[in-house]
Amino acid sequence: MRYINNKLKQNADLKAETLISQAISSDIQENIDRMNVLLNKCSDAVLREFTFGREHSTRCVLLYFDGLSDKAEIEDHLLKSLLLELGMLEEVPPSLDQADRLQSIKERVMSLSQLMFLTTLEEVCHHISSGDAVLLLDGCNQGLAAGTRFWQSRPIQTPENELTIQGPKDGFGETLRFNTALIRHRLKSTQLKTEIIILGRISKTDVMLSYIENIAPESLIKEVKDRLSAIDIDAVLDSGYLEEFLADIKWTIFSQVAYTERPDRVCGHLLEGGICILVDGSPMALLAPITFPQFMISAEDYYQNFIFGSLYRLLRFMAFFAALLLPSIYVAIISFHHSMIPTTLYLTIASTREGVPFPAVIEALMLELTFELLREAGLRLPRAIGPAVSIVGALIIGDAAVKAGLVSSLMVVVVAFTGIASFVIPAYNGSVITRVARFGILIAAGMLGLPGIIMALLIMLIRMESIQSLGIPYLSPLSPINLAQISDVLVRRPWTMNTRRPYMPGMHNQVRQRKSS
Amino acid sequence: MRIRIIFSILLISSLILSGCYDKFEVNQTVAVVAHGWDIEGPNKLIFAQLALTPPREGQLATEPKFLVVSASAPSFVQAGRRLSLTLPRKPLWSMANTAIIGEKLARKDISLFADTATRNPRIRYNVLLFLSKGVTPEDVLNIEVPPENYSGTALEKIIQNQTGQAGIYIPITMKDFLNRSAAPGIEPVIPQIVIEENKDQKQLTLQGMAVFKGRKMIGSLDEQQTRGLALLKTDAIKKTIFNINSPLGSQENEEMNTPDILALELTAYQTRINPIINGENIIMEIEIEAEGNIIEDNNTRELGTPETLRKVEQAASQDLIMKVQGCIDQAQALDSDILGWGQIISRSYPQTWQNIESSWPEMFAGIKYDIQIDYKLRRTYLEKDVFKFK
Repeated sequence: MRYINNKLKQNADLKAETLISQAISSDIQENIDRMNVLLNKCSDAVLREFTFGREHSTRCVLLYFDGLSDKAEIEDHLLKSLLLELGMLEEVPPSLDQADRLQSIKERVMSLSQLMFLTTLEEVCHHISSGDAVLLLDGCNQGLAAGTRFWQSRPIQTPENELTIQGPKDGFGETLRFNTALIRHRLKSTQLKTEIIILGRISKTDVMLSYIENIAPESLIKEVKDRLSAIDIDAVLDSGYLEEFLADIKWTIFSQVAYTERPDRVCGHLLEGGICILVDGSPMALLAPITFPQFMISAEDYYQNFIFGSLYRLLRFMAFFAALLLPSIYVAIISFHHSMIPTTLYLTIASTREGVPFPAVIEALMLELTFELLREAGLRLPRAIGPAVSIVGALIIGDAAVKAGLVSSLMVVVVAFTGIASFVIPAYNGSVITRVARFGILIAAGMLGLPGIIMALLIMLIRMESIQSLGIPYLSPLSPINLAQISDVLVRRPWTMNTRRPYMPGMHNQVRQRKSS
Repeated sequence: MRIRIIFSILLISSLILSGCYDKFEVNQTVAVVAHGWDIEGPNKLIFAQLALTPPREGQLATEPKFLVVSASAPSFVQAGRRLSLTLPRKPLWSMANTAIIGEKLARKDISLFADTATRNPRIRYNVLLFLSKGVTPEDVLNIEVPPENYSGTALEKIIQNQTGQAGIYIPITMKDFLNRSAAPGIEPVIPQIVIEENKDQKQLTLQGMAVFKGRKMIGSLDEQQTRGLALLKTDAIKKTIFNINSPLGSQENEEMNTPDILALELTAYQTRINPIINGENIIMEIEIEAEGNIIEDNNTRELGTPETLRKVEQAASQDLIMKVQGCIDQAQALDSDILGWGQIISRSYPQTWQNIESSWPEMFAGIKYDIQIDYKLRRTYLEKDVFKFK
């Protein structure tokens, strides 16, 4: 029995697989049969057969997926027009063949703006899965897709992960169309290009590559397009899928793209000649090429007074180094280089460490791991119990561990400070890089002291130097040094002095504003 | 790829194999806040004041707060290492900011100690040096100096703090001391520390400075002479207070039999010493420009007129001259060039210095000098007159 079932299933599968690539037949019954096979067991598919016309009555079928399309629109502009307002069709000379009939329906009956002819069943399936309604006419080997896409989506909300005080508060949602609207709303130019590439064998996800023509280098666009179209994967569920396909070097912790939920940040990136990739169903826009110092830049820097922006940026660089090095330096100094500590500080450290049974490096690793656990737990927990766990974790575990003499209170201070410093880095993947690198440096510091830290930093630096993000050196403009751009990376220069875009190979349009006199 | 893997394995193993050979957890160490050096017969004695760290928070503080340990051996290094026979932790000598030299050692021969101080990297060049006068360094280290926990840190703070308050003693670091011992034309001094009995309580106090000549200590300056020494070097102290008998005189004070004392502050001074060579004769011309304020007065006459101020200034200058003179006389009496005159001559007249360098120790005592001090009053703290009684 099972054998027969499997056999039947295989036959059905085979049939569906071959059917999908076939062209639309001019026989409506054949089309209906085929679609019935294709849409078999799809409970949300709607297949409405009806007949319209008085003298030349024609059988036709309307296909759409419930929940993806605007039902009211389909009923008002499609069904109503065909069933009730067909008087107009009577004017069509009957000598015209069926294809022209569809043409005249498109031109004269349908009161919808987005209409498209389809020729294969695959196209039909793709359009109905995307929310369009498709009309198939008897005697006509083409289908008509009507743009009736409409589904429930999250309203535009404040980006949760990139909060700013000043600046726009809207963030991307899950619907690609709304996201493109948010970008085009800010860059009202036809130079803003939004090319769609469909990726995913099953998901057929719309992946949008956007850039500004004449600013983004041609070679960059071509390279990205090549890399994207080379992808053959069954589904693309988030823009994060694409990062590893775009990256030059995969075996590294250094992320070569940036993610953002903020349309203003995307626009800023596009205006500097970068490209942005939006994936339908994901609120995270992927920005490339990106350099490491850009992880320290927040969009807000550009919205407030340049002095404050610069100071905050310097603060962030300091926080980055603290997040990267502080526990390692602390461990190196208290285990190897006691002479570097002033006597009074040494006595304080000694009194907190008195009776702690672990070596400093083990203590630091334990606390850092605990911190990462708490962070991860806080991230995954339901909102209702999140605060409870943070309190238990931070207060009770921290305090009790110190009281019990397992860790020294100064180490708790160091780790907590480091944790806070790592969250100052605006880009989430930038802060992840920092936290991961910190462990490596900590182990090196525990083994070799300060020379170990220097070695680990050198290894890190060499790796960063060897990376390019789509042709841009990862550490630019710090290395190779570019003095003109450094002033917009380490600090934020005033807008009046910001006359040129950052240099990118192949960029021809570098002037951003005329020099004010 | 294979090369990369091999290379990274080599790299990682070099990290691991080198191990943590140099590592010393804080719990395995104990901080030496001050060390002392002395001799006893043929043996050298080393003392260390160890900071006993208070236990973790929430527990009662230990009593006592420190521990003084000592060891003796024919060499200081061996004595230091012998501490490990009784001490369960590794003493961190480099934590010390204070070193105390016993008077016995100083009077015997400073070379017993100087080599260790230069060769041993754990003895810092910036430790402050003191000489325990009449007692051993151990006695000094054993005294409690509240509110400080350790007498070692207390001494360091006392000598640095007093340069802006009482303004008498000059802090001398190990580096100063060794440089002065090695350089021709200058001899070292070290502040002396004594133990005073005060109402059954022992307390530490600075008292005079030990004067060295060559390899050993030969005497000391008293407090007044030390003030003179400080005046002979620009900015050796920040501020000081000195008292003069008021040059103005006061009928009322005489009637009341109240001493007529005027306290003056010295806030800044600049010293220039020029050697004048006249054939065989060398005269040191000392010019000091000083300024200061009137800070305390205990009679009732008017102060703030140009004439009275000039009188006060003259009297003050005279008093300062006496102090400087006292210091120079004592140095010449001890025959030790702690003033660095030899160095001053060698800078101004290198040729002459080459001729006299060998005979300088004998010559120093006979060098003539001329002191001119110009003390200027700057302010009277907004009080033109003194407190008026009804």
